[in-house]
Amino acid sequence: MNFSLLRVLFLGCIYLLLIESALEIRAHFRGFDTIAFGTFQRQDVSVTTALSSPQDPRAIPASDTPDKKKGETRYWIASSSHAEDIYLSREQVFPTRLETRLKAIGQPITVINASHAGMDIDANRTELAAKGAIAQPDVVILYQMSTEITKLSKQLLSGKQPGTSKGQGSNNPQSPPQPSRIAQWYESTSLFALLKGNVSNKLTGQRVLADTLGKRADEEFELHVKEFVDTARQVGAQPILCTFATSHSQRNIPNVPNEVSDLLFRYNVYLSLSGWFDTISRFNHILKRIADEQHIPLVDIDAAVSGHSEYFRDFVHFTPEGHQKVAETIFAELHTHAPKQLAGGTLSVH
Amino acid sequence: MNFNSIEFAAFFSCVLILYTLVFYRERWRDVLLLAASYFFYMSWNWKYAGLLAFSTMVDYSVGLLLAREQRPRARLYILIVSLTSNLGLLGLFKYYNFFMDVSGPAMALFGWDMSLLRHELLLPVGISFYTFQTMSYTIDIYRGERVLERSILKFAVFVAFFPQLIAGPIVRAKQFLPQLHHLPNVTTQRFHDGLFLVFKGLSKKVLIADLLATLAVDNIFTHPLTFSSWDLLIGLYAYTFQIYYDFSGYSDIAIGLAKMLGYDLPQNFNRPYLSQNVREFWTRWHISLSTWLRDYLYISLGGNRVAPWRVKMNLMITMFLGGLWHGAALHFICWGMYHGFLLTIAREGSKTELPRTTAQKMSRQIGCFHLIAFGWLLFRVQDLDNFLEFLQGLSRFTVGTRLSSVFYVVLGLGILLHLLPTPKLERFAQWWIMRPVPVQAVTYATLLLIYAGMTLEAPSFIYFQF
Repeated sequence: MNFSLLRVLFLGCIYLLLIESALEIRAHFRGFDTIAFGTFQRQDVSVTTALSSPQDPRAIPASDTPDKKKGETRYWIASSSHAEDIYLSREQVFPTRLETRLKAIGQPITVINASHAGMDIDANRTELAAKGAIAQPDVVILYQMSTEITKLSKQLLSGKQPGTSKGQGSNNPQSPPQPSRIAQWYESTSLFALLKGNVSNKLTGQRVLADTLGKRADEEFELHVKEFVDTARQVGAQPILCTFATSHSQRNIPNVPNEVSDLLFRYNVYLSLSGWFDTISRFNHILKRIADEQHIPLVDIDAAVSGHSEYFRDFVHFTPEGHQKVAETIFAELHTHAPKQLAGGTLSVH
Repeated sequence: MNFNSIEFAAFFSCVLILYTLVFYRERWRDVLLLAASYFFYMSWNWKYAGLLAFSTMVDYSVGLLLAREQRPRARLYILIVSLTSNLGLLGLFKYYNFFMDVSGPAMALFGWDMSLLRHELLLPVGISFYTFQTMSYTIDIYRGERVLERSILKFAVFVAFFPQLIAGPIVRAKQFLPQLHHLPNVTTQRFHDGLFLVFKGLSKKVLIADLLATLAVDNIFTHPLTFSSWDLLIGLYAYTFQIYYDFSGYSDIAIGLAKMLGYDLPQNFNRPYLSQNVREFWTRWHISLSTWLRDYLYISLGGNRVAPWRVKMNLMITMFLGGLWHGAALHFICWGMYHGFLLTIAREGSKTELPRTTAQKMSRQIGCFHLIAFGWLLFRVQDLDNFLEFLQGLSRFTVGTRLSSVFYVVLGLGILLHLLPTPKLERFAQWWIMRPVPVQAVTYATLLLIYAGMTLEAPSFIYFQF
């Protein structure tokens, strides 16, 4: 045996590398992040992350929160890529716009944007529990759902071959294995993005997709929201829930463009489009019920922006106009339901 | 680290490079194979490498003792040590909780709460395969076959050889150990043949088994009452082909990887759904397990050299344990018993004359296929409720389909490939491996890209859980 035998594998690798290189160049010139060229420097994105000036109009991450001043009211935004949108500058996302709007009244306030892409409600809760005592928020606003739906879809709909005995399988859906570094690297290649964007999602459209997540998903979602509310109260903050909005509504399913459904199928290979609408509708109903039962203010973002595709750049992420509308909606609700806290920060218990 | 993962591709590439470096140094070659095998095994759960080492040490020692000992009774006791330790491991990790659960209601009558005795240990992957492999080694020595291995290193490689460690084929000592004593047979043709087999197995897995599962089968079996009777029937056929392509795909990859390293593993499948009766099916399906059960269990029970009623009982016991081998669950036991029952009937049927016409042969094949497919329903369902729901859905005789055209195309492709005569495929393989290396390289790399795009989830092989 000698190395000439491995020529077939070596040539195959070279071929793949050549394709990847070509795709990396193409992706870079189209404005995407690549392995070879790194993060694409968007013109309107502020690269500054650490903020110190309280006059700075931008929302600040929880980790950089300065000491709380007397009379200051702090708002904690718990969300995911909806509020930490890498395709927009920080001035454009709704937490910053909300802060600008609130400051215009003349009160000392800070909006803490504790949102990171990929976070679900449990991650939001963990973050709040870990940093809440230091950040001392007075109001915690939860805007979260699509990541939760994707996670629950995988957990409840994957329908794998049953294990040999309960609790003994290594593929427990409750604890999915973390991808290895090699897998993470592979998933960051342009080839992977191309394949997932052009083959996988087309195939997903050919699956028998579920039209509902079922009652167990409702129970899990309710449990997660209630746990989040409890945590918010434990850190001494007033929780505020938000309904979830989408670019299209259930009644105009036939008009949903292919690129919207393709993007959904790219991240969730279990749930049909009507399944998404059904689940969002049920979860919004749960949010309203919890708000009603526990006397929590609710911001109905769904009613304000759903179906207005001009506010969305895809199914769930906002355009700058969408962010402005969301900020206005939250501000209006805060103003309606809790005028005192805006005026004098009476919610603060710190 | 599944065979169909990027991690395995990186791992095997590294192994191949190192293997080429040490190829002509026997000891280094064995050390590398052993280290690679343990690394592969530990990638699943490093804690269970100790079990593999324990099983290896016990059977290596038992083998040496059996070779030295001449007294029949003492030899029997030594063999019992091996069987007890291997079956003990299997019992503890695979069956203990199941028997606690099953005996729970009866024990509750006496006021005992068996649930307190349950353990939370994970099932070590491949334990059913490597324990059977090591047991066959000691039983062979006990029966006087010349398979004794005096080198602990070579014996450890035999037990842990990574291509077949997790899900077989179950290799006999006499098939594999002699190969470790010679320079592995690696030629350009065999290397490319092995690579072709790897891609053949990968194609079976990704192109057919995984697509059938993700496009419809998983959903059909999870929510059977939301589908028409037609869809359920098609779903059952699809699962019948899914499990075949999943497992035979794994076997092809295992055999191909071993061949690239210069070793031969036994064939595990031979177009099983073309069988005319269930007896024939078991000579074509999971051949390494069915021959193991025949040689070490059925024959040990007396085989067919006993009274007719005992032969039937031997068949039922063998298939009951065969079902239990697949997993500690009632549906696997029912599946095994069902096949035991079919085998006893097929045994009677073997006295009837052979089919004369093609139509007769085909009708037998179709009949046998449906019997097997019904068996897979028992194998696939999650519990009794799921089974009854499926039957209820089937008995409604509703038509209409929610299944996509792509799904039907994949199923059709699976059926056609199964019908393709083996010599034709072999001729194609021989023609293909003679193509210029760059052509092969570009084709394989392109196939990898297509398969990566077609992988909607990261499905494991079905037989990994056994």
